[in-house]
Amino acid sequence: MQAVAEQLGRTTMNETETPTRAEAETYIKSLINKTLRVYATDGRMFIGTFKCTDTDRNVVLSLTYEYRQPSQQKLAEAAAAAASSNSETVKADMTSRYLGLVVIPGEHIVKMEVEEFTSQAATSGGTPTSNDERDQLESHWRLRHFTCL
Amino acid sequence: MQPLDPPKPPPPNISHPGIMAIDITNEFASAIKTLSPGEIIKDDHFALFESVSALEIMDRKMDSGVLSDGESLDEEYDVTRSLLPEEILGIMDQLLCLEEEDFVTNTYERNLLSHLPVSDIKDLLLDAIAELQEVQTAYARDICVALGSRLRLRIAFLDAVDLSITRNDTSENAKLPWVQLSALIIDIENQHALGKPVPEAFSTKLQRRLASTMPPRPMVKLSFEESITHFKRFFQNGNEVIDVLQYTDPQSLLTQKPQPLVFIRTILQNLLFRDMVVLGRFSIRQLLDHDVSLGVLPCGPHFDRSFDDVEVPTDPRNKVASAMEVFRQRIADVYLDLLRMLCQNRCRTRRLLCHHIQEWDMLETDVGEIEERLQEPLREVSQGAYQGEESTYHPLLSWVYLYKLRQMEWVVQLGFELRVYQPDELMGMYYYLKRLASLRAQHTEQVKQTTALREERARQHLKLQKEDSLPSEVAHEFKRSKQHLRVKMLDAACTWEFADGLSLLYLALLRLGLVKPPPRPYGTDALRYELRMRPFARIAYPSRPTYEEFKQETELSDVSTADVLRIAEAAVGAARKGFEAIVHLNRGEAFAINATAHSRWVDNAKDCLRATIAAGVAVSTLKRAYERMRESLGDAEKGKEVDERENTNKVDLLNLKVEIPEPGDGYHDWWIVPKLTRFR
Repeated sequence: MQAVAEQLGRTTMNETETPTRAEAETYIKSLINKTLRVYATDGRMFIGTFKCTDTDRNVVLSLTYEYRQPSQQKLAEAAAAAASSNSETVKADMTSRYLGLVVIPGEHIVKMEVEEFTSQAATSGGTPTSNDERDQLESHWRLRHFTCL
Repeated sequence: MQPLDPPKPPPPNISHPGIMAIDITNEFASAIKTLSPGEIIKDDHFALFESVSALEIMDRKMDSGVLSDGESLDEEYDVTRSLLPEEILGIMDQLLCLEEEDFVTNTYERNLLSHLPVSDIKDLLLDAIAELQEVQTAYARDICVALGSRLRLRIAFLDAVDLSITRNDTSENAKLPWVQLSALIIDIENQHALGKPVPEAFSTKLQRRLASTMPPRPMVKLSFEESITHFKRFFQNGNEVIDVLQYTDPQSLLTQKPQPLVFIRTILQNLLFRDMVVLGRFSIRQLLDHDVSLGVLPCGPHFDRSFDDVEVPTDPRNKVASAMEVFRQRIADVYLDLLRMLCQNRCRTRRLLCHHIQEWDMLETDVGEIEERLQEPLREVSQGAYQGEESTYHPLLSWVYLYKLRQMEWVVQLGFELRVYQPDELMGMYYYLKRLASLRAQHTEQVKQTTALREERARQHLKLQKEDSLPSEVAHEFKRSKQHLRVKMLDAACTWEFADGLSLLYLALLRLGLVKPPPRPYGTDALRYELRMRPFARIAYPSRPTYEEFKQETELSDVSTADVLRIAEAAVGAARKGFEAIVHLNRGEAFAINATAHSRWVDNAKDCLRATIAAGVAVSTLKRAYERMRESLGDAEKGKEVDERENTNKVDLLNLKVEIPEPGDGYHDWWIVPKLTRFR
């Protein structure tokens, strides 16, 4: 298990016990330069390369894109379009914007995710989001196939 | 134009089937808790100072994407809705402010609609003007006129920045768009009240979509009045920059003191240097040869173009031509860099000059070798047409040396302008400036004498009688060169005298305790001297004085304060006479390209003159106060040098207050003249 985790370059940590200082550092360092998805209190998600963090959980991401759920107006438009074409699913794109280098203050972070290749993560035994949960999340974010009404 | 920012990466495909996101919120949070306070974990290649430029999410000042609670992302403003003519006017004026804001904050190199040819945009604007004329009867006439002015402003602007046309055009046509712009902006200013603002058309939400800057930042608001003021200046500068095209002498390029907006300086650079062709018409060779001959070597055999055609490598003419080509190649880059530097902002100019003088210093060695190689073939070709060129004279080396000295002076003078030095350091820095200027004056004098001798030899060679004049071309070249040397001589001498006078004035003020060093618990005079002289540390010649020499020559401990003031008075008086002469030089004598450049040049000299007058007043005020103090000290101490540093209570008798002007408050930025007033 450990070997696989090392291969992945990502140390696993036991959540229930407090990690030691060394474990914690190795863990965070293993995330450096990986792609993170950071969810902010106002509902936005930022996807970028993890560069830096500190004791207040302020996170610096480079090459960042901001994602936002489509607005009610856009969803209504998309639903109308789907209805007129008798389609079962409603497609609406999230709005995205390139921001570059950003710092997200820890106090505004509600959730963090790391991106892994499905092929590797499946064997890693880390703490992947459960399938159900992931589906739920994907239905939350993957608005290309957002089912509405 | 290239975009400043690195290209955006493609947006991540967040629903790629091969990628999954793993929740690490809790693991991350508990890992963070083990860190000691203030600890940071980062990518080794990530410099923390970079994060200063990062956009802070949720900070309203930076993050234009923050939504208030319950605020919808959707824009309620309908761009297709009908507008009143007054509203269109209001929107156009607001746009104008936004555009000007781009120039003020230096957001450049962002071409809008780069995929559309400029001609199409102009056609569209012309169509709009035509349509406007058709509907003129239906709407208030003044509003239609106002709309027309705004459309015409845009056309004129596109014409003005189209440098491909401008560069090769020396007629007044190139100025035309700038002149139009200046007139139109005044109309627009007067018509502004007719418009009706439409603030909802400029909401934050709309701006969020525009993302014209990276990182996206909220709009900076500039008032209409401010924008108009900026535009007026912008257009005026644009008009003047075109004058550069009327190049006649290399010195006219150097007399430009451009300190307008960056955009204009960029246009200037482009006009000057694009494709290594200076000013679109002059090749680098012409420019260099012209500068060298004007500066040190009128009618020199070095520049004979017929030598280029001699192909036999053993022929002295071929040797001269090829050695001169090596010379040109060696100096071209540093020379053009110098002209480019003068187009930068002042801080950067100074910083670049500090490095650049090293380059010129190294140049001397190389040019010395080239000149050595030229001696023999020059003597050979001189046996015919160019008799009697002296082998002890090194014009090319002189040319490099004079340029280097002048740049070293600029470094010090820009230090005054940028207030690099503290009041108690002014004495030393003016002393150093005097030292440099005196070397330049002495060397210029030598060149002047040699030029006079060379002219005389030319007359002998042509077997001219006393009253005969030289062939007009030769005579003209000598005349221009002598005029040029006279201006340079005046400039160096004035700098020398005035710097000397101010250095001595500050010396007296320091001795009398009227200028005091601020407390510097960690500094020493020697270390500070080291720091101030750092730009000159590696210059081989003139080498900088050692700290001991410097201290001895600035403090002049064997000269009485009365004498210091007497010499200062004479030096300031001499500088004043010099600047008076400079003020009266006409356009040709001043090597100014046109009337505007000349009037600037005269204004600059007048400011210097005013500074010398103020300095004269300061010196005599101090002199009188000092004499009064010595008289009041009574017979017992008369005739004895007053050691002021130990008698601070006596210094109170001077009853003087000293003010050192802030940057921009004095008469001239390079001459910091203290103001002395008596207490009541």
